[in-house]
Amino acid sequence: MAKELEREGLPTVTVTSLTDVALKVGANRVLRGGSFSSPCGRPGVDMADERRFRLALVRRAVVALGVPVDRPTLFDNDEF
Amino acid sequence: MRVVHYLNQFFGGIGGEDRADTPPGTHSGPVGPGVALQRLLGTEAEIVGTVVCGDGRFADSADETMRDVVALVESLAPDVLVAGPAFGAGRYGLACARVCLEVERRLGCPAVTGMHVGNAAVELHGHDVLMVPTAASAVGMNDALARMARLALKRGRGEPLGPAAIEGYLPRGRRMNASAGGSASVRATAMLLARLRGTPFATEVALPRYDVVVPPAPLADIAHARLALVSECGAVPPGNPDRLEWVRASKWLSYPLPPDRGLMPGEVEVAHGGYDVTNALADPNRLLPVDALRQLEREGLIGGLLSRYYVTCGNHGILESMARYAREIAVDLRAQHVDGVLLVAT
Repeated sequence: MAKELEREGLPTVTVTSLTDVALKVGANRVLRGGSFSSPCGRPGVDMADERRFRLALVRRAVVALGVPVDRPTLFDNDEF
Repeated sequence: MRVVHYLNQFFGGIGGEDRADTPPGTHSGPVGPGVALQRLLGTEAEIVGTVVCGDGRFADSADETMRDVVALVESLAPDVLVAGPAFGAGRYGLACARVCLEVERRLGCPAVTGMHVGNAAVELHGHDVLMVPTAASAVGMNDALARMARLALKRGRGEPLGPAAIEGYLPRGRRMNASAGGSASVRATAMLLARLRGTPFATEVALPRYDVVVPPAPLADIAHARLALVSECGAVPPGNPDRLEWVRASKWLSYPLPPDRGLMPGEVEVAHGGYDVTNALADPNRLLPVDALRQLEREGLIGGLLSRYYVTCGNHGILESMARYAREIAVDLRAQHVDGVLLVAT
């Protein structure tokens, strides 16, 4: 779906735990999510930590939308 | 075996585009390319009649014309219908495909047509109609007729069809179980060895091909950008009021988000058979990170989050459908001046 949104000119960042699939399919901005069933969460950790994780993830996602890319790119968590 | 042949006004020898409004009519025996088709069918089958109809007539009043065409076909009492071949002609291809579809449905008579793989009718009806691939123009008439004749005879005899690649028709996306004569491990090893040696091999499962999309320009001014949340996670309001399917979704939907806070448990239900939703139900922000995005809004890092989110169910999603949903969503997003998208995938 990311590709079709991008084809229409909308920069799109995909948050998923299946980053290999997203990159292979050709989504251009990909961010690794927390877990398969909780892409924007980290169940099992304390709630405050999870909120911090989500905020950091979403910050990275938003920043990624402003970064020029020329091919499918994984915005690895460690870079931010 | 009685065969009826369907042709348009051009191949039916009536005229060109100027006669595209020709109403449906019958002729006894084969006409035009039907003569060659009869030769290819041999003595086992006889083209008892040809139904000719103008492409324009069909395109402009499809339902009425279809009724007339089917009635004419019925009056000839065929065992098989052959339509076209239509090659690259769009309206003709659509007419042929629809005639085959209706004749099979209403008369229970097997049908076969032929057209170029790029014909619009292939995308629209290729899953339901038996079609042979042809050249883009009548240059490929003989080859097309030969394939169609072969398949017409098979279907007329009631013989089952083998795989598309072997029988020479366009794949309809149907999977049949067949015995491969050898375990998967043996076949896989043989395939791997062939690949390593550089000798030819044929994949048993064709993987979809993914095309490349040039990334759109990045957001120049994130602090004033309007972002939207799109997801295939299946998050819907409690009660799933619009009946989003849990698998092979037939639609996408859009629902409001709370304007100034994150999502609360109980505000969202998940229609998705492909992942464990316990965590998501306990805190829906794990799917749609609304709380975090509202925080970024308050901090001024983003201009704003669209007050609606877009959702479908990605479980066993058919690629073409998902692509279409995304295109339609994009139109909606553009109309609301959205600048960028956060797509959450499960």
